[in-house]
Amino acid sequence: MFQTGLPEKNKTFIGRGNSICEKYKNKAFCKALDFYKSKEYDSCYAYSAKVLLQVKSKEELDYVKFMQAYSAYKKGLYKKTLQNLNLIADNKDYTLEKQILRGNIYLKLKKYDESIFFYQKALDEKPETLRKKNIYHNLGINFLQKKDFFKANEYFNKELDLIQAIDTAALISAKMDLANVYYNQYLDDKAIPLFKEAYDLSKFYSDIRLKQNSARNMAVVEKNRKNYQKSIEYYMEYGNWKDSIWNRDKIWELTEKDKQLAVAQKQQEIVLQEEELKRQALVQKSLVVGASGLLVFLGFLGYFYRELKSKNKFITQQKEELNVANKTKDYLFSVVSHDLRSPINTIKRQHEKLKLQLKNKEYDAVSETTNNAIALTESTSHLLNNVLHWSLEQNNQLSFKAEEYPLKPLVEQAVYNFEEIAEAKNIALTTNLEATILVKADKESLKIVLRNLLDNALKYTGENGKIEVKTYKDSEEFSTIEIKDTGFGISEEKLAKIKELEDLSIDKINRSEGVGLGMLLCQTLIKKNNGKLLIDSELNVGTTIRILLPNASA
Amino acid sequence: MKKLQLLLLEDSEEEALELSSFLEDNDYEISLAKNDVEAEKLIRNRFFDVIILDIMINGKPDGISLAHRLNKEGINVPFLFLTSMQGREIFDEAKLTNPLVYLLKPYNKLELLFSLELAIESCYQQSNSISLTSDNAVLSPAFLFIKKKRSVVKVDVSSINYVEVKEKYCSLICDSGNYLIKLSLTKLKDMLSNPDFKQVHRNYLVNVKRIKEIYFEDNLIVLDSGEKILFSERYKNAFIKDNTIFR
Repeated sequence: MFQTGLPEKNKTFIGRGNSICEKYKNKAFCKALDFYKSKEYDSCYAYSAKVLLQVKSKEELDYVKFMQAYSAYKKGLYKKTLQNLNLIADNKDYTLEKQILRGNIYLKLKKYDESIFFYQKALDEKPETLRKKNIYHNLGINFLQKKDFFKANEYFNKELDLIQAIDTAALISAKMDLANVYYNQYLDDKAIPLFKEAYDLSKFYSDIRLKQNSARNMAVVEKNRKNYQKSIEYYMEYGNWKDSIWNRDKIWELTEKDKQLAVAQKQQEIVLQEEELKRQALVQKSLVVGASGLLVFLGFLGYFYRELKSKNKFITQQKEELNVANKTKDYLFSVVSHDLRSPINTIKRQHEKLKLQLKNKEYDAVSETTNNAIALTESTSHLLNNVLHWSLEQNNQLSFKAEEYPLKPLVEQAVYNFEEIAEAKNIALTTNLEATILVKADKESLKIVLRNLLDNALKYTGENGKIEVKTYKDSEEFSTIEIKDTGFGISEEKLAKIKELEDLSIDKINRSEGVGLGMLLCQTLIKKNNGKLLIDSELNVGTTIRILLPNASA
Repeated sequence: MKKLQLLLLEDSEEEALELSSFLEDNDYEISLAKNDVEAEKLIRNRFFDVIILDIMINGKPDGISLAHRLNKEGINVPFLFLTSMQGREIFDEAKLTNPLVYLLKPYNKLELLFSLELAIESCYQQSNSISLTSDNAVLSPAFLFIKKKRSVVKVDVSSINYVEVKEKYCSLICDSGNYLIKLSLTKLKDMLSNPDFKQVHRNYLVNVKRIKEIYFEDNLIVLDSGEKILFSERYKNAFIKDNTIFR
């Protein structure tokens, strides 16, 4: 048991420090002092080293050195402490503290003679009671260690004298120490009551270690007195106290464990959270991927929808086209059944007639019948051509290329085809064509139109009639082909219907009303040539048809 | 005046005879070929003014392939199709060979003759000349194509006395008459590219073979036919330089 408390010295020592701090106003010094006051000896030690390099005054220097020495002592750096203590000048302010500190150190280093030497020197400095008591105590311990029981006894007694009754702990430990001294000298009579006294006192004192020690001492004493029953009791008590200490340690350990557990738990939690974060990141990632996937999917959907829509549109368009084509087909069928059957039948009849005439050798009649048959064949072939052209035109298969042509040869060629028929019918087919007209037209379609119109004119003009074909320039824009006949003319109703054709589509034509394919074809093709078809007619006087065609730009 | 040389590719003998007799009646000279091999042989050996091609030869569209070969080999002879094929497919295919005319059988006689005119016109890029009026003619480097009644005949360019500018175009003065050519003087000179024809005035081109006398001082040229032509200063020097006789 070894006592170090230096309360009295400390008060004066710190007071001196404060005054130095105020006197020199060295910030570093004050800081070091603050650390010293708050018992932060590590910081104080480090700071003191720093301050040592700065301060100059002896007062400060010594003070700082002592502070450092004390800090070093507290940290267990005994050599450093001794060095520092030696460096401090022989200032009587520090002598006592120096000697006590040295004594403490040597005691700790178990160099008892040196320790005793310094403690005795300290006693020469006349320390105050508390420190004196401590010094006596430590001296006692030194002698106890040296087995110089007599001296130890002496010092412990001196200490005991100084201890005031109130300081129970000190009293107990002093009594126990003294008892130990006696006991080691086999002065059982003196020792046992002291042990007992210490034990009894410790009962009312809170320090467990003291209780334990006193109990153990009692147990050893009783055992040596062969008073085993009591010894066991004391041992048990000792054990209890030990247990309680152990328990306290255990509890501390447990709390330590708990702490570790808690830390582990926390770490676990952190790991878990990290996992969670990772999982969330994964979820986020997969969400992003999913969302973009969905977007792509939607895009595809939209694309396909649009594709489907356009397809549908295309299909409806095709359906309409097919409808028109179907109507055209129906129309053509009706043409074939209507207009083709009867002439073919007539031709057949003509041939039967011929056969009969040949059989009867009516040669004059044969010629006439043959002519009729030829005329019929001609007109049927013409009809066939129209059907062909019409269907080609409807399917956009009729090639169309408007170019510049001299009008005269085109009309001449068309008229040339009909000269024979006209002659046969005794119709005067005359032309009056201007030589210099150039028109812009598609040659083939113009040929078809002229052929149809001339055919009509010849068909509806009786014998000895007249047909005149004229061409002339109307204006800068148009030139005209005029076909004027002295035929039967067209009734107003029919004329109106023909004019209607101009903006009629195929599906609205009523076949039963008797407007031929020829006129329809003419209207369509002239329109396609950017021209106009004008019809003037008077019943039984004749018909005048004018085709207006755009002039060639040159 | 010479007759035009025509080549007719036609596999049907009957049609070929009918057609050639009709064309011969109209002052054309016809060579007949029954298939494309024969036709090609003839084209290599002789000069033709126009070629008339039937498309389907013995059931195959050899007319079109022959036309392709002609184009490929750069044989600059105008050709036209005369066929009974009216289908869009065949027509489109035939169109790829750039025929001058595509005629359908049964042909209109007048139209055939007209088409020959068109063929010649478009071959020398002088459209609407002989087909419009017989006052016009078509000029080629070697010949002058003119109308004779319903047909076309050709005369040698040497029969041209001189050329006179008439507004946009040119008038050719020949022994046989005057013809309008739908070409500018510059283009006409390019077309002829004949050293016998010299420019003597802004408006005149003279066939030097037909010059009788030249009066340099009076800026006058007198031709064999007695016609007098102006000789401008501007062209005199070049004229003298090119004709060493006058030095």
